[in-house]
Amino acid sequence: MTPDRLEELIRTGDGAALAKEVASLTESERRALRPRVRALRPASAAWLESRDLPALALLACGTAKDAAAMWVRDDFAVHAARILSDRRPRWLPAWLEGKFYRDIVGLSWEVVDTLVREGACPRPRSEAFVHYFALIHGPGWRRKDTERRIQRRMWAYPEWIDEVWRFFEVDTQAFTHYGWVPALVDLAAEDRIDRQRLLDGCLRGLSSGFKVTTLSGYADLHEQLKPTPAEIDARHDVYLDLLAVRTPRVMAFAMREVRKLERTGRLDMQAFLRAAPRLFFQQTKGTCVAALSLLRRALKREPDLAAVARPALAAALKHEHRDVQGLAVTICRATSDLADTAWLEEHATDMPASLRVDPAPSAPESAAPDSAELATRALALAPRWREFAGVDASLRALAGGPFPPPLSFRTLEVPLLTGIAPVEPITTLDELIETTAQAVETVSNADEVERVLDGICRFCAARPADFETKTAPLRKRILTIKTSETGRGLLTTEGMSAIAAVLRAWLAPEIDFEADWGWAVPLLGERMGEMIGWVQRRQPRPLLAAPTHAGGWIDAAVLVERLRESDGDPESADFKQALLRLAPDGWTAARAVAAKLDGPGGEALREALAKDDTRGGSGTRAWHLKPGTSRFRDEIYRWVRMSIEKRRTLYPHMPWALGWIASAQPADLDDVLAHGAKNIAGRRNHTASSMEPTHACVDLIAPSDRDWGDLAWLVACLSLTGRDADAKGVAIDVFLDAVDDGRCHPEPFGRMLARLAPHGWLKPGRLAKALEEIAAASPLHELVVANTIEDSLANLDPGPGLPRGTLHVLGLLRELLIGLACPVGQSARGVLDAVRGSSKTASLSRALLDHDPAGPSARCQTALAQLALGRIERAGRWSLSDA
Amino acid sequence: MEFCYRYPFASLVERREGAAAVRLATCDARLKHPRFFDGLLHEPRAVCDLLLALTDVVRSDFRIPDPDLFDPVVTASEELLRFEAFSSCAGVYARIDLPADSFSARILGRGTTNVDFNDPMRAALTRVREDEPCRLAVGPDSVELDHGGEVHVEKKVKLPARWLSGFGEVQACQQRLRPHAEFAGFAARALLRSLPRTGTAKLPVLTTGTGPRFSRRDGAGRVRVEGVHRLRLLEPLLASARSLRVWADDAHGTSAWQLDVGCGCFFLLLSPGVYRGFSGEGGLLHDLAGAGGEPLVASVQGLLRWQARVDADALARSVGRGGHDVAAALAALGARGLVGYDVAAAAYFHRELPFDLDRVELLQPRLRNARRLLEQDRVSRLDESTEGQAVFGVGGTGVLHVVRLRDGQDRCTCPWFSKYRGQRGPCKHVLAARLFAESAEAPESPETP
Repeated sequence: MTPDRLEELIRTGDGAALAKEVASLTESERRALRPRVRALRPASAAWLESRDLPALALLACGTAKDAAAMWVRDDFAVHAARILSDRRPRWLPAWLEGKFYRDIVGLSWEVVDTLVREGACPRPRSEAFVHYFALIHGPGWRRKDTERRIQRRMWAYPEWIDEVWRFFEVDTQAFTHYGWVPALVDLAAEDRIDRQRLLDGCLRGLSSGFKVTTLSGYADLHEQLKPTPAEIDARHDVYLDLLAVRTPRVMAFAMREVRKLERTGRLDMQAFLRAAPRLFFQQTKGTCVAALSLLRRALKREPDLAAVARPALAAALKHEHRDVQGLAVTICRATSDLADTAWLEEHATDMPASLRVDPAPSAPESAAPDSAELATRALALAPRWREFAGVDASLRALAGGPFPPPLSFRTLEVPLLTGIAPVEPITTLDELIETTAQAVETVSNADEVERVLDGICRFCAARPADFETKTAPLRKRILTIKTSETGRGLLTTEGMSAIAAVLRAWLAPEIDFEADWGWAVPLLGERMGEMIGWVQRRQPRPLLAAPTHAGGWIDAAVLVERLRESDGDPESADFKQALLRLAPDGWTAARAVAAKLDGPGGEALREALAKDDTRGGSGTRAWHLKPGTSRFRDEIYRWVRMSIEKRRTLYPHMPWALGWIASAQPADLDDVLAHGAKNIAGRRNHTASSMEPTHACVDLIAPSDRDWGDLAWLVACLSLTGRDADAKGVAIDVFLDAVDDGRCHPEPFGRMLARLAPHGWLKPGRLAKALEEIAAASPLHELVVANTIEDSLANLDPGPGLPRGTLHVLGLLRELLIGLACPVGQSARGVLDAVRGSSKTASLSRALLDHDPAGPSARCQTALAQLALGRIERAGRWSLSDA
Repeated sequence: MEFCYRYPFASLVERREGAAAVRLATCDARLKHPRFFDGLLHEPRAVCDLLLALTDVVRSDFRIPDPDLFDPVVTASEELLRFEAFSSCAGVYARIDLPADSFSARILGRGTTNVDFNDPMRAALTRVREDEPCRLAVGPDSVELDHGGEVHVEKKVKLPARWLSGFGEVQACQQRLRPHAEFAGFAARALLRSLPRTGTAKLPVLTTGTGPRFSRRDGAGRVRVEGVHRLRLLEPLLASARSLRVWADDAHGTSAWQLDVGCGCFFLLLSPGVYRGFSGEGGLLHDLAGAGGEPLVASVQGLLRWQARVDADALARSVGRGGHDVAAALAALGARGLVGYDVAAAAYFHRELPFDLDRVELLQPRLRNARRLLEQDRVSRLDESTEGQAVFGVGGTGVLHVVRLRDGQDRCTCPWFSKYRGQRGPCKHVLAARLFAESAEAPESPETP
């Protein structure tokens, strides 16, 4: 054949004629034709379709590489198969196998069938072929096989039907997405495929370690085949073996089949009991309850099985679900050979209080503080701190009085610097370079940012001879870093380009840089602008607003000192920021020193530190929150309000950035918390996300002298019941501390839960789990959580009845009250008394009302002593400020 | 590195006359298919659970799905049978220690080799029951050797450098661990069942103040556990857990968890991050960089006799050197896969990984790059060196990095160092400066053993 003749054939568009004419060509003749064929190939096509005649000709004359980039999947595939079968190049088997590994195979089944049937290629054995086989015959991804396509294909290609058995050896989607289950059921019904082998294949597949969806497919096929009792009986041991497979889906399947065996009286109960212990290693409740129910029936019929049942019951007693444990205990107590108290007590450590013979907690607890010693310590405290911390009320509760009321201090009324860590300023240029380099890569908290900014402002004029050498790597880094880089650094956090501008002003002033100033809080932005000016002019100065303590707080004495050493312009953002960060500690002493300050700065500071005796404390007042008493304060207040209202985004991706924004006005976090509550509520059914972290907001209410208003309670409660594991984890941590330090009180906590419950904001199951974790910490935590649940019940709107799912919370309350040996409080009794019916909630309500231990327990006393101790320690810490 | 596992047969679980037999195929080119172990297990179900948990580790890759699977290695000695494995991502190291009293057996051989863990065997392991006798055989028996076995198994894998160097690195990591806490079985169950079901972005920490729990707030005395979901690998063993011991390396973020299940222990070592395999932790780099102790390393190696616990003091007396020198030699041997470290026993054990780790240094890109910096003469000592601190300039890309060498507090101005703050070992600049300083201080005469 000449190249011209081949081109003529290609131009006719007749694939059959082309295949016929090239059939007898030798490889050397094909090689001679190859250049002409390649020249005819469309230049732009990365992939060739066999319906294009040039592509078909390329199969006839081309190399393996030419054939690799070709889809052979249309009406012309038959011609392609003919050409390849006639030609049989050495690369053909590898080409065929290679096709199966492509993401898009692009190969018609007819080609595979022809090449294998005519002996041009061996039968493919790869796993990739099994995937291809499942896909190519099915109706398509997740489509129903309404046209019985698979059956028709299997009728047409009966010699390939054995490939079906490989579906049980290879992890494919044949039974889940490609519609093979109904097809195989039909083929089995038509006797075209071995039904017994299918059933065995399913069971073999179920014991493989394949994906859960694949295992579900095997289970589905087995169920659709509807095995007869005789078929189930024949596979008795296999079902028992499957009880040991650690996949809930497989265990549930096996348990269903075992129950069928039981119903027909064919179950070897001893064999079942020997296999059953493994069943309880899984966490799902349903299958375990089904197994225990079966076990209970068996023990009723044959009490002699008790000894064999013991390992299974022991495993059930360790199960994490209370219902499974409860059923196991019931079975043990109902079976004479198992009602051995000592044996049950061996497993008591894993059981809740209501199931234990001795409900006292199994874990050792720390010794309760001695009440006499507590009283002595309380007497040594200053009366005003004792009152602020509610010490006397807690001691009265310890002596048998009512539960003490919540603490009522405000953040700005107490010496909060006694409870937070100081921030150490940077002292040398080398330290500044190193700290800045680290902050560029990773910022751990907002205080680190302020340290760096303060350091830059103080050392901006320091230019030793080796300055360029020392700062060159950092300079290069800040000039080349991309905001798209993943990281938690100063320059890779969205909205922080103003900080980048400060760094550039220090290390690369000659390069213009346009910072984006339209970001969170303009006060912070304007302060950055001032810093850039000082750094560019190389005017070193300490920042007035550099925090002396964590959270952005400034010690008044230090601010006075800073102002004495430098000019303070009351119109500057740095000065205003410093006043907004003023901690309420030590104002009396600071006022005395500030009296000697000259200039407008001194005057402004004196005004800020003006004495207010409206409430105890150290003579401080919440001037931040009381605008209008002077032009200056009013201006600051209005400015901050406006700043926060105008912000574009309050929630940058990095938690440190939120902390920094909050530190602009640490005395009043309401705006930040309001936005935080909105975000947490919006994400309450979402998992934790590093792109939208909500936990940073919860962290803000953690410091022990931060008073909790409604917004703080809202943020804490919403986090506690959300799905976001991070926000919930932080909230639990915060509650644990807040119970210890006295801020978490059942009254506001219960009130907030009751307010949220009717609107669907609370998921009682999640809430119960979180409360359980809090309660596990100590007797005090148990008592506070129990009282909180009671208070929330008492505060619920009685109209619509208890919210759905309340039984989870009631279950926890019951466990706590049994452990504490306390009866239900009067406030909740009315609500519980109103629950009628035979539901689980009603049963739990009755059980709670019936729980009536005699007198207050030692555990309750321990809890009250812990409460008093926490308050005394708080008052003691505050007393340090007097010294 | 291309590697081919060659097994004379596929590992399997047989049932004959009411007894189960777990037969683990072994592979080692050097040892010619040794038969290490053959014995009856006292608690077959528990041992099978341990082996299954180990296969879970092997099949895990916490970064990408469909991982390559690399078979565990087994070390046999008179005192212990140990299985070691890595997750595919090389961020989780697991070890099973079966003491001699957990089986009635004769140890037939001493040594280390791969064992074949295949899917059918894994499925069969789940079916072994507590009340049936179970024999564990590691290696082929003589009949199979004579006949060459009927089924040969070959698995060609590409062992990644990170996986190989990780085996050496975990020995260094374990030495830095300090005991943190020990919990009873019920507390361990409660703790591990409280692992969040969903992903977390904030780093969880283990706190033990009022009972063990995972907190979200870092602080003194708390163990940071990044990628806490990796601990789910212990879940299948919880039901039989008697105690849980925890070790932590606060500075580097590594933590170790050991479950005692009665018949043996399951040890899990977690890297400091899900996306951080052990290979990149750089704990061995200083040891590998120091080449002065080669003769001592050879001497120490010559005294290893498959001990389950290497007595470092006895070795020091034997070689006539100080404990510190011997510890350094053992660390170097650990880097080459010739000894492992058991943090519970606070001692090395002898095992020789069945891979060629002689050229382990080639698997350390930082060390390679540091040597290149030296070769290119890009390291110089700067004038500002003072007592206790040597300052070097190391040429980077377009800039000069300042490296300060202080005892245990090396510093560099490169971004990599700034990012990890020494937590992942020294950067190439620090290594280059160290090598430069050591070469300058090295005595002219070679060190004698």
